[in-house]
Amino acid sequence: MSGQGETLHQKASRLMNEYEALGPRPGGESAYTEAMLAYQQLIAAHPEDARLHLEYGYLQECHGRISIRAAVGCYERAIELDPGWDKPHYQLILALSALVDSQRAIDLYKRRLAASPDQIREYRFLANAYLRNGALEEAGKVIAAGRKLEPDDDMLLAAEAELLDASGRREEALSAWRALKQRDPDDLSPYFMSAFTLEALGRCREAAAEWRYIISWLEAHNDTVHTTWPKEMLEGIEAKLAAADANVSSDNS
Amino acid sequence: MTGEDLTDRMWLELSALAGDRWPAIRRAVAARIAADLLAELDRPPPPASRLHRERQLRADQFCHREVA
Repeated sequence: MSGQGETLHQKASRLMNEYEALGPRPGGESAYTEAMLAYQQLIAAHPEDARLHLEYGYLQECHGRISIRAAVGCYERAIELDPGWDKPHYQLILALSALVDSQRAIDLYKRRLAASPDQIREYRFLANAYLRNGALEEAGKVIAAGRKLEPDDDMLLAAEAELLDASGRREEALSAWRALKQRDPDDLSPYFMSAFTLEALGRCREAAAEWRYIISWLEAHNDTVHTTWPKEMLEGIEAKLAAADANVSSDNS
Repeated sequence: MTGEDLTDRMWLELSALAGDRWPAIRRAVAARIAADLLAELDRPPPPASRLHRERQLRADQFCHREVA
């Protein structure tokens, strides 16, 4: 419902409320599009107005949440259509955690594990659901139980590496990722994870080496489109290294 | 040798000894492992962490109300 003689801010605010209330229902998406335009105009005119930035941010947050909820529906459908495919399960767990709804993923994968206790994938899913929820102790229990069934499972080792990293046991996490790299050099996940952890530890040269490996692997596999972000990460680390080197030089002179 | 190595070896030996009956044995062992795990996971969290979670939920609700 539009108001007569309303200001642009009042209009933006009204549209945001409409979108918040309607979401993906009829009228919601057009309210969102109009509200985006209104806030962009308002912020261009008043770039220092904190309230406008808050409202514009909240509008985008609502849109993000609604999109992720739609993604959850897509993953659930993919799982129904292809029950043996693991990928949509991991995406579902991530999407639910982005909605701060990890408990739903935990409940789902607990039920699935109870129904198929001899399927190692169910331990992997449940461990991931707990990890995404920050429930490290529970994730550890699931990993340990899965190991009783498949002591050498790569995916459980990857989950354990994440758990170790999240628990601050970073050297052990790095060691687990090293083992995973040896087992499957074409799986880039342990390289990404190592790069983040090495940078967090201030070991920038080693982190840069990880990014270089990722970039060269992607280029060698004709996947240059995915090198954009790794190259940005590498540039950032190289800039840090250059700044550190410059500091050392100036201290010595 | 770690406990993990031992489990690994135990499984290999069991699977070799059991022959055709191995899938059924594995299923039975898995059912026990999962039942123990789920029972442990279903225990209520310690009061301190439950209290923390309740506070977090209340704080979240308050924040949403304030923004909206």
